[in-house]
Amino acid sequence: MNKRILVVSGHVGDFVWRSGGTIASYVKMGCEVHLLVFTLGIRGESNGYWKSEGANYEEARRLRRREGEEAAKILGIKTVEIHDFVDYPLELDRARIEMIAKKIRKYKIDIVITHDHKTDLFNADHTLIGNTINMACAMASSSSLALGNLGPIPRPSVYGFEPHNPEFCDFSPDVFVDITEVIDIKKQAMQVYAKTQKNMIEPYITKSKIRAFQSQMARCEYAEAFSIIYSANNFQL
Amino acid sequence: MVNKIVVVTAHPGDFIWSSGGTLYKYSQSGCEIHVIALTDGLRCESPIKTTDHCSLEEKRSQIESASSLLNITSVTFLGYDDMPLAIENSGIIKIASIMNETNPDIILTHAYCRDDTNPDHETAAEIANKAAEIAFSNHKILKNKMRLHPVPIFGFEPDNPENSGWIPGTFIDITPCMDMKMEAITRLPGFADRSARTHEQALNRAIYCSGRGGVNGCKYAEAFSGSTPICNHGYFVW
Repeated sequence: MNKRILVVSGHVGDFVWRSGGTIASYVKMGCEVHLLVFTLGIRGESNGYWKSEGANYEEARRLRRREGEEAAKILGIKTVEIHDFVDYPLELDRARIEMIAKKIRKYKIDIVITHDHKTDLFNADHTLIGNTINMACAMASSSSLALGNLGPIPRPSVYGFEPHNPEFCDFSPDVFVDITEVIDIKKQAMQVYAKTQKNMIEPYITKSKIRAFQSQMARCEYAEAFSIIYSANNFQL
Repeated sequence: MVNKIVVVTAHPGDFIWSSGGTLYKYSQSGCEIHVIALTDGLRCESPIKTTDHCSLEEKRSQIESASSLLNITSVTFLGYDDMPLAIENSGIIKIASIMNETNPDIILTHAYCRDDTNPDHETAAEIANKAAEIAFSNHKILKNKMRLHPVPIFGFEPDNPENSGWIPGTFIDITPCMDMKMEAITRLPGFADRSARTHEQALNRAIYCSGRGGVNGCKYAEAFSGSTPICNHGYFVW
C-alpha cells in the first residue's frame, strides 16, 4: 500500500496518544506519513513539566520540541513540521489555513488524520483544528483556488482522533485500527513524554485495550478508534 | 441517606460487572440491596465455550455465590428467556409490585439508551422504567398499596458508550471495593475476557474521576447515567 498520510496534531503529544499505533502500522505497510504539529503545548499540555523545579518557557520549548521529534522518529514518520504557535487558545488565521492546504497539495495527501471536529468541551484547540483541517482539505481539492504553483488534488479523507473524554465530546468511534502488532513501538514513543505528560501513558494503554474489546476483532489486543469526518471514496483506515 | 436499592438486571451477571463495586460500597454501609434478574442469561451469558454444561441451577448458584460476596440482600430470578428478552404486562406489574414492596431510595438498572451490542439491555431499561412508573403512580393496579415515592433511577454503562449515545452522569470511586468486585466475578466461571474488560473499564473511568473529577487517589471507578431528574436535595447535587 502506498498511501500518503498527513497527521495534524494540535499539541506536540497528541499524535502519539491518539494515533501513534496507526502511524506505526501504516509506516510498516510502506506508506509515507507526514506530521504537522501546531503548538508545543506549553500552556495547555505540559502539566508534568510545570511541576518541576526551575521550570521556564525556554526549557519547556526545547524539551517539548525534542520530545515531538524523537517520538516521530520512533514511529517512522517521514517529514516533521513542528510549529511554535501559542496554545490555549490556538488561533488559525487565513495564512495558517493556506499553509496547511499547500502542504496537503504538496505531498498529494490521500488521508488526513487529525482532531475530531465535534465540540471538545475540555479542549477548544482540538475542536478548532478538526473544523479547520476539513476546510483546508476542501481548499486543497478546489480547482478554482490557486495556491502558489501547486495544482488541486483529489479530496483526501479525514479521520478524527479520539478525544480525552470521548462521551462528553459527542465522539463517534466509526473506525477501529488494530495496533496489536505495533503496540511496543507506540509504548516506546509514549515513553518519550515521561517528563512532561507522564500521566497520559497508562490511561492510553488502557483505552487501547477497551477499543480492542469494542472492535470485536479476533486476536486484537490493542486498538485505536477514529471518527469519520470526511470519507472520500477510499473508505479505509 | 440511601437505605435500600432495587437493581433490575437483564442477565444475572450484568449488575456485577456494571455496578458490583458501587453495590458493595453501599452494602458495607448497611444498605439493603435487592436484585431482580429478568432472565437467567442462558443464551448470551453462559460459558458454553468453556464448560460442556451449565444447568439453570448451577448458573443461579454461581450468581448467588457472587452476590453473597457483595453482601447483596436478595436476588429474585424471574426466569424469562433472553436474546431476545420480552416481558408481558403482567410481568412488568410484578416487577412494579416488588419495587413497591421494597420501597427503595434508588433504582439501578441498564441505561435508558440504545444498545446495539446487546439489545436485551435496552429492553430491560425500558421494562424497569415502565415498572418504576407504575410503582410511582397513584392508580390502582397495585391493590391496596401506597405508591412508591418517586426515586432516582440510575443506569449502567453500556459496552459501547459512544455508539449508544450514552454520557456518564455520575462517577463512583470504588477503589476500596475493587478486590471484592473482581473476586465476585471469578464466581462466574468462563468470563475471563469479561473480567479483564471490567478491570480496564474501572481504570478508564478512574482517569476522569481522579483527574477532572478531583477524587484524589481514585484508582478504580464505575460510571452511571441518570434517567430521572434529582430534586429532593434542595441544592445542586455535588
